[in-house]
Amino acid sequence: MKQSSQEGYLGGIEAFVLVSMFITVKLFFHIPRELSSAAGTASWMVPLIAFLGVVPVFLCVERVANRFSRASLLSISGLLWGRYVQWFLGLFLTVLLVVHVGYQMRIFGEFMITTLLPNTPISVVIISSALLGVFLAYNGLENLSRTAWLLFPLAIVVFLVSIFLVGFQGHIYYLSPWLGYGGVATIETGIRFMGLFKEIVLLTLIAPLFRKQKTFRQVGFGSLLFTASIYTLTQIVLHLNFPFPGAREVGFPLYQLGRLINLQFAIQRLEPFMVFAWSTVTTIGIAVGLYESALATTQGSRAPDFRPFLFPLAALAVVVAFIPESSIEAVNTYTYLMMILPIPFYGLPVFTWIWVTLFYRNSEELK
Amino acid sequence: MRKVSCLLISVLLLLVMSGCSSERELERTAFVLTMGIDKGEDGNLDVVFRVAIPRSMDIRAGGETTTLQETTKPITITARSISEAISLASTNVERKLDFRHLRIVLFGEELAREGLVFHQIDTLERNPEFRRTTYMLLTEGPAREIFLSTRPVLERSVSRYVDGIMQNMREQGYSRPITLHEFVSEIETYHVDPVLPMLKNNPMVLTEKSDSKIKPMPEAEYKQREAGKTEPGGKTTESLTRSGGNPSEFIGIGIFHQGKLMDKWSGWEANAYNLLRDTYHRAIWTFDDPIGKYTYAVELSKSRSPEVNIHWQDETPQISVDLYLDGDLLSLQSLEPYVNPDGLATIENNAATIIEKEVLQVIAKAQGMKIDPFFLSRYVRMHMTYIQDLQALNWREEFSRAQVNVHVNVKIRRPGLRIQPAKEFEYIGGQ
Amino acid sequence: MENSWIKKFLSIFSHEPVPKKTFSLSPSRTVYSNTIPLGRSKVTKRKKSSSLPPEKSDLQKVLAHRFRSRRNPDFIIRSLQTSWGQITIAFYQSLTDSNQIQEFLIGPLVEFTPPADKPLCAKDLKDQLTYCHVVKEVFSFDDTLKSIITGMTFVHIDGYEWGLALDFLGQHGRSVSEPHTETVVQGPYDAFVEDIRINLYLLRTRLATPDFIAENIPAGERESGPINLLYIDGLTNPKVIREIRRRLESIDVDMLYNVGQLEQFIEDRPFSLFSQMITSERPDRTISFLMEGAVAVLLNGSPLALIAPVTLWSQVHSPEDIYYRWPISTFARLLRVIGVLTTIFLPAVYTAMVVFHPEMLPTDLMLAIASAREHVPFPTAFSLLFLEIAFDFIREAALRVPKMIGPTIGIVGAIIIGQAVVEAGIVSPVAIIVAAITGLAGFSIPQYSLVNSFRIARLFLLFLANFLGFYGVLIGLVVLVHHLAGLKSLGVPFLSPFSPLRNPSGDTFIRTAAFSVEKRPFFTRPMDKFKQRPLNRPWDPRIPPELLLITGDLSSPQKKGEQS
Repeated sequence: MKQSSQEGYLGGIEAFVLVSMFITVKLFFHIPRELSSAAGTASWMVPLIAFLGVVPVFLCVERVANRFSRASLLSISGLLWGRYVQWFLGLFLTVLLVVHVGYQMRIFGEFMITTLLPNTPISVVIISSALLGVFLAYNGLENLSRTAWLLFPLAIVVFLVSIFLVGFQGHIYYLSPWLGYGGVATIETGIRFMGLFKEIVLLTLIAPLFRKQKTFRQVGFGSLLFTASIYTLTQIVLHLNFPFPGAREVGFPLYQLGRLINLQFAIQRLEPFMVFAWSTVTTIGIAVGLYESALATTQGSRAPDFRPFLFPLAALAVVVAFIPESSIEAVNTYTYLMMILPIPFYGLPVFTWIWVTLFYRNSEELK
Repeated sequence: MRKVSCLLISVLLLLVMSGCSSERELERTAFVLTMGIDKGEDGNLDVVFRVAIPRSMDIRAGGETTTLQETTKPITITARSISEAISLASTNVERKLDFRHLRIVLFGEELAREGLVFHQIDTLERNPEFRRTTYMLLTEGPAREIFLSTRPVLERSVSRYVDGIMQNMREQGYSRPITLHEFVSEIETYHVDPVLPMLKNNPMVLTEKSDSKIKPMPEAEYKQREAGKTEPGGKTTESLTRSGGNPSEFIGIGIFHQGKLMDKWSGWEANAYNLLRDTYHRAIWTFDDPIGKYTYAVELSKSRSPEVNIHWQDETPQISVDLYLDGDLLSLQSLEPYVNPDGLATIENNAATIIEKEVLQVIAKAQGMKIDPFFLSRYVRMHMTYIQDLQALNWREEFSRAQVNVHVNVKIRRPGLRIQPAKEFEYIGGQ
Repeated sequence: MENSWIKKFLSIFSHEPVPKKTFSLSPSRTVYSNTIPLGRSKVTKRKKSSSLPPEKSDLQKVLAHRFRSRRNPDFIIRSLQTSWGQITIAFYQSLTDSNQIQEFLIGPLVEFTPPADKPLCAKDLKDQLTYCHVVKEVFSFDDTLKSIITGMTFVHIDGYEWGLALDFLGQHGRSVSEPHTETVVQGPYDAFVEDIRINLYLLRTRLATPDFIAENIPAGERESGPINLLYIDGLTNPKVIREIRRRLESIDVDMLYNVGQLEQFIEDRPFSLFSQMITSERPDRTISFLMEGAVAVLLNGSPLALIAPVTLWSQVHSPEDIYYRWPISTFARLLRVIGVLTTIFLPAVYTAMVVFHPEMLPTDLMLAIASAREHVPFPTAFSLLFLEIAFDFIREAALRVPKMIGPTIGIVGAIIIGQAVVEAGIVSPVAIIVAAITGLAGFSIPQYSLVNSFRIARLFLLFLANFLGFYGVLIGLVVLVHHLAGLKSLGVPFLSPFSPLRNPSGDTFIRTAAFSVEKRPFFTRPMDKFKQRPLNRPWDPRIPPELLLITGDLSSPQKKGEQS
């Protein structure tokens, strides 16, 4: 199962950026509003609690990967339970991921229509983003991760600048009452929102691309911690500016935050530029999503290459993107998906880890 | 390679076939820079748009146009909603109305009195063309009247006119600039009543207007009009005594409660309000001199945020407010030698007492109406843990019963370029 | 048997047998193989080389036939009758210096006396021809042909199966002159010329080391002059040398006119918009790349060196950067980076702002632009495209017109574009400013081929921005970055050392002081990592003495010599 040295490898920082971007795609959609609505003024604690909840899950992922010298989860399942289970799991993951990417593209389309291109048909945005995703994913993850890394400074600088410019306009008293709907309620919300980090399942599939187990572990924990702090920062700034009952009614919260910036000199408004910078994250995220679903199919069916799957799966994702009849329906389904998807995404590695610890003994044969 | 070219061709087709639809060249757009909304007949709205004329801004025209009237054109339309007004306006404006450069929205007083302002705001929030950083103003009388009569003193560009006015408002404290975002936030937040800055027409200046030009009145007439006005400008809601300049005056605030305009506060009250609401930056204060005659003036800026302590004693909330101001001495009419530690302490204390009195008056006024535009409840919620507690609090009732104690700290830091005032030498007698 | 269709159906999903490579995660890397038969000899069909006919008449007949000497009076075959034998001399009159032949070849040959005790061998004759330094022994007919067409003079003695090829080359092309595209203010003013020997002279006078190798690689059937592969043995990574040699040896074409043409044969991604190698006409720049572990290729007849592997950043660098002190070169480099961004994005961003997002502009500026556009009938993007094309016309015209009237083109162009077009109301003055800044920013980039690549990228972005506003610019940016990140120059990632991130030295975006850049860039994997001694300023009082102790500079011989 050891990967041939001819494959491309992922650098540590590139992989970290890639996974972080994949996780933070949701941030630019409606998710901050959902967090506000669920936890009130304490919504900034939710990502932190969810992060604490995801850490054990990632530990399982890491242990399993270590045991099998970073084979992919589907290969491991094939080894443990046979080819048909592997095939079934691959199909299952592919379906989930394609639905997920489809909804992401739809909401990205809605986002673009609302913010930058009010009169353009949504199909233009969705199809162009799908094509862009296929183009980005086609050359493999090594190239994609390098692209992500190159775009990262733009995205993070614009994000931080906007967050700080807006943050200084806010008022600290809007963050009170401090514990929202109550301590227990907040923790419960945190557990429910563990799906914020569900994209970490990507790591189980691309594990063979890492050179060292240490890099794998660092990338996992690093991107979890980084994205958790990004989410927390956003929630704090959102609540500083939009007082509690209003924050849950804001469409595209981060965009609305950006619109509050009013520079008097040179450039009057920054938000088209901000959307521009943030959307680089989304396009990378969509490309990674397409790549991941194609990879799940490839690994499930033990095919030699992922590329033939890429275009058909993207076409399927576009079909999925057109299922919701309205923007609100898409947004609600996406939130529902975020709650539901962690069950298989986290459940699978945890179950594998339990199975491996209890029933799997002859690890020498693998090497 | 064939795949790549297929991809490219499909992207091109996609763009050429259906893209391009959000595109609109500048010369095909009519930018609305300011907007006024009045209550019309029979539940209608009178919506006034001020449309910019780009040609008048042409640099090569070399400053031929000097007034606001020549760079913009107002259009009034009666419709059932703002959106309908926009759609009806397109029947006579040859370009598409665009609100992305909208700076300010004026609301007529009548609209506010009947509680209809809140109902118009939803449009402004929902449509992405409107921004939450647009300023909002409440006009005394119909907005349209002010809209048509306003004559900026210097500016011919609306955007700079508005920005300058708002900057002054922030620096002089006679009012409080409010953006749509702040207004909506205050509507939504628990236990606070929103306010809007006031804009009124000065009747004296208005009479000087002829042929869209302001012609200052003769001295005799001015003296005649001046007679009988004893209160200093800004103390009451009455217009200032002045001639020439812009007929519009940006002074005072309007207080809302439950969506309706409750009261209009004067410039002085707005200053006190700013102190409590922590929107105070800097203002020039003129106080009566302790010797009984003359005045002295100081420019006071906020040195620290107000410290407010609220605790309950036998069901009665005790509110103690500490305000911190410091600033420069601007004038000493009485020519008393105050610029020494004792003298400064005298006028500092005097100033503090007067400010305290004004603040207490404003608080009492609010308590009488059972409203809290000062958002003093923020100091209560800072000590709260759960949202449920905040929702259970009946703050306005509690506030109206509260015992308020205000303490103002004034510190004069600099005397300016003069130490003691100049005084004529008095011969006491030789020895 | 009856359920074979089930198996067939299932085999779609479970692909058996599993090959060694179970799935491909990164297919952009292909397997490196040494065994691919790319050698010329195997591809080209060639007649077997025949030996030289010993008989004088046979030889003259064959040569005269091969070179069509009757139709081709430039080719000369002479017979000489000397006391000791019949001598045949064959050469191209145009390529050789007849005085030299007369003086240094025919004279000694006539006076030559062969040794009596043994048959004449080539070495004896060679030793006798003292005035000529390049003398080759030729044994086959093919070698004879090759030596004659490359300008050598062929000598044959009747009755022997060998001949001699001597170098009596005539004039050496034009002399060394100033560079034409890569001009600098401070720095050397010499540039490569067409003759490869002069080019090598320019390089070898600078890089005086026996490790500097100029390897001769034959290219193509018709032998359009040699390709020289330059590298520094012991410094350049052998893998790089092997790779470029492999690529060069695979070329088999009729004619290579220029290294620009050669580049297309050997670059990694020939369909890319960007050139993944550098062509330079400056010997000092070539040397600096060689010293960083790159290899260079010289082609006879082309006044340019082709350098690889390089990164995008080195295409933005000017040779001047290393001649100035660090603050000046750092500023110049940052300026060039801004220039690159401007030249790619300005028209697109301007279009996106004006056509899609006027809210970004301050109101008064927006109204000013709008008022300027009031008289203009065409869309913004169209007027920018118009100006771009007009700008290119001026550029092309200035290149093509005779040098005498060259400056007038610039003036005429400026007047036409700057004044008349605005007054005619075809474009707005702001569009002219945008187009002019874009063009100027483009020419701040030293590498000419990169400017042209950016121009195409700019049009592509302008097109996208016109249809999709900032979203279009976004698509263009991501595609551009992705493409650049995927490019490789001779196996080196094109955006190295930033992507992949690998200890960027102080010599990419900025340039730190010359003495602080101790290492060569890592991406060429040089055999010797350091290019200077760790401590070059031991006399500087700011250097901590501990450092001197560690590096052993306190006990350097000079120091001791001073003390004693």
